[in-house]
Amino acid sequence: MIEAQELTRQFGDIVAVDSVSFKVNKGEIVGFLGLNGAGKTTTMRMLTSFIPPTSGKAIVSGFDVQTSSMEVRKKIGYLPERPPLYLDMTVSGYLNYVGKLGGVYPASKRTDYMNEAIDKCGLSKVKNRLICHLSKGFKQRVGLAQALIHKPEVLILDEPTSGLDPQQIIEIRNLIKDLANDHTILLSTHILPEVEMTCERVLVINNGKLITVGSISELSSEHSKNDQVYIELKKNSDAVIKTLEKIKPIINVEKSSDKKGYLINFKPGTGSDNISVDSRAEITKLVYEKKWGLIELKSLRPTLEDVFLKIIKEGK
Amino acid sequence: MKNILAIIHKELYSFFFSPVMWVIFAVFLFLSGIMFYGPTMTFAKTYDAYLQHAANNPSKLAITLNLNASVIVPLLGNMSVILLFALPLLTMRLFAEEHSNGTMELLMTRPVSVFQLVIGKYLSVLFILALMIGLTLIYPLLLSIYGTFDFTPLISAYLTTFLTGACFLAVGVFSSSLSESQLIAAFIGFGTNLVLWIISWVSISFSDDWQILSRIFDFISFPGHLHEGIKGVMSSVDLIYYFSFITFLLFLTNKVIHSLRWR
Repeated sequence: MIEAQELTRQFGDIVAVDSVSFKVNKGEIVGFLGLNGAGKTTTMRMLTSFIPPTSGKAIVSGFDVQTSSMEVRKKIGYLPERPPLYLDMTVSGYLNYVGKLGGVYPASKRTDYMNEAIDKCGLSKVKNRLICHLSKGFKQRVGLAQALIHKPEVLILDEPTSGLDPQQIIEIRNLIKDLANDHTILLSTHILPEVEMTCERVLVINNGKLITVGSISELSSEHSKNDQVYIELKKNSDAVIKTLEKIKPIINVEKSSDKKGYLINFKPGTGSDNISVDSRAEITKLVYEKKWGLIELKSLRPTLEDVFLKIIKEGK
Repeated sequence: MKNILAIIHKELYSFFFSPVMWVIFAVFLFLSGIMFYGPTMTFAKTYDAYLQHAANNPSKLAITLNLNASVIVPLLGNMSVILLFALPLLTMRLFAEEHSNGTMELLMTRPVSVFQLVIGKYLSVLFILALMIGLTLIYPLLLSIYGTFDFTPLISAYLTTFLTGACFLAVGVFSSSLSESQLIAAFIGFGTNLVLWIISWVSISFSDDWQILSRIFDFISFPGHLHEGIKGVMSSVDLIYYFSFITFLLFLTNKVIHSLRWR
């Protein structure tokens, strides 16, 4: 549905996006991850034909973004980083206008589409209010409704959940998941849990270069083969360390930085089997037999943040 | 076509709901009211004197007085000057606001061409100009009630004023496309209009050796085309001037907006 081929964009001497190539298949939700200024917005702007690439090619819905940009524009819904709103219009007036620009005719069809977008984005309470009187979260939703109004095949959303409260973030996430049934979605964000919850695949971009492409589980397993387990016991002595180290897959045991518990390191797992999880039962059994008094036992899987920062570090 | 209509509709909506347009209307009508009152009063006095003179010397009536020449011509001449200042204030928001609001990103990613956008916006302000000038038709109407008044030269006079205003609007639309700041857009608009107005004064100062330059300047300037038209004699040269001027500036606007994508 979306295909970028060595997409490059320069602003003067600055290379904002450096020969980025990727593909997004039909019906996929793909997250576009990167720090601020990594080149996410520039890439999205090229995909939506807002700015032309310096070199390279982008194909959206089978049309070249540069040579048949009008066709591409009919197929995409785009939510820019800053929702493009006319503050002096009412929500319904605005959506009606955007619908017209999106080529939704006749008026009756447009009204239907509009009501659908209003329902989906939870705007029915505010549809007759002026946009300038809305809170940031509602403005963001109007921006999202604007991208959906003409029922495009492809949705390109630049930080769709920025400025929303936690409740709204969950709602928007669910909405995006629902939309994936009949849309192809590319969304950018720097909020990692969001990607974890909504996206099937991620593209990680840093300094204009695409570093990694893959599913979330792939990425995190690849970058976190050494899981750790944290254990806190009533008994606190060096004997504990020695006894624990006798369990087979454990490489070593060390005291945690606050001296209260122990960190247990395992042999790197192979493929999908996860040794740290399997060994926990064994550890518990040992603790019970020795009557050490178990207070806490938890697996320290690296969070997506850790993985992300690690990928970026390695990318450099 | 549907896109152009959608844009016109939206722009008119924004204009009618913004205080800017109403303030411009109020100030414009107030000023043109004064411009109407002055010449009319002068005419009334002159006419009294004329009648007395005619009563004393019935055989020596060399000149005739008419309302068209003594009221309408100065009124529309002055109105054009007010429009020169007022219209950039009307057009300043057209593109500058889209730039600063980020809505350009919306318009440029929808199946709308830059041409449609420029034309739609231009036609919407043209409509407002027509309304603005149309409201001043009340003055000739008043004159026709209280005096003898010829409506035929009025058509040319009003058309000339409208087309001059249309040129100001084209300049305004162009200058609005140049900047994110409405203030800068308005000021470039004033400046350009004013330069095109006063070069007709400069052209007089050229010596005989520079006749051609003087004529060129006179041709480019607005007053060179305005004066005859207001009197009721609009020539096809003037019409060609107005239409080519407007087309050229809208073409430039089109190019400027296209170039934005490359910056």
